[in-house]
Amino acid sequence: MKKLIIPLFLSLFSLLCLSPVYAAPGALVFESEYTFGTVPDGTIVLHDFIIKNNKDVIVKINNVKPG
Amino acid sequence: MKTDGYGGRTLKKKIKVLTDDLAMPTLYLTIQGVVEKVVDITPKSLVFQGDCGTVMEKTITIIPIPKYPLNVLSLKFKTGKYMTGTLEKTQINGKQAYKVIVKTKKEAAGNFYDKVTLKTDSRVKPIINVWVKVRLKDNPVVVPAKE
Repeated sequence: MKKLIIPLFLSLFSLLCLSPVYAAPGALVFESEYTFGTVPDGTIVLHDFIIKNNKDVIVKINNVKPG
Repeated sequence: MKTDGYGGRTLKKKIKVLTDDLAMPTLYLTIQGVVEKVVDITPKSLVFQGDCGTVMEKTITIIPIPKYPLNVLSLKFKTGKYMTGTLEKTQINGKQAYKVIVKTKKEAAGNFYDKVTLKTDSRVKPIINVWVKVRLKDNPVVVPAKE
């Protein structure tokens, strides 16, 4: 029995090691909307949107496309 | 975010953020607000259409909004190849206003573009830009009819 358990454990372990690690669901917390109120024409509006990663998994931001 | 040219409107822009998070591969961030007019510019851009060889003239009226008083200091064209312009201080309904009179130069047929740049003493709106398009057609050649 022992002879069977050790190879099985090793193969399961190697499978887990080879599989890719994805970001856990719901890892990102962010403020989705910013209202700057009323400004005169010509003003440059600046605001920092903070995206917080709440999990222990690395989440990459691949691209940011301003609309 | 620049608010130039959005005076009198609500400005709303969306920013798309792409991540490798399977649960949230795309995030949308929205930035919005009201942009107040600093000046009334009529018209917002100029279009001249006519036959080549003719000089055309149009006027741009600039009325500062009382909340944001300003003086127009100078006028400049981006190229100055296709038109000339003059700046006049005036009064419209008791309000301080400016008139920019733009005249086309005699040119060959074609489409020409230029930009009128007005320098002001306003910290909010130091520059006012007005785009100008000139479209000149060839003069029709009159062929005498055969007898």
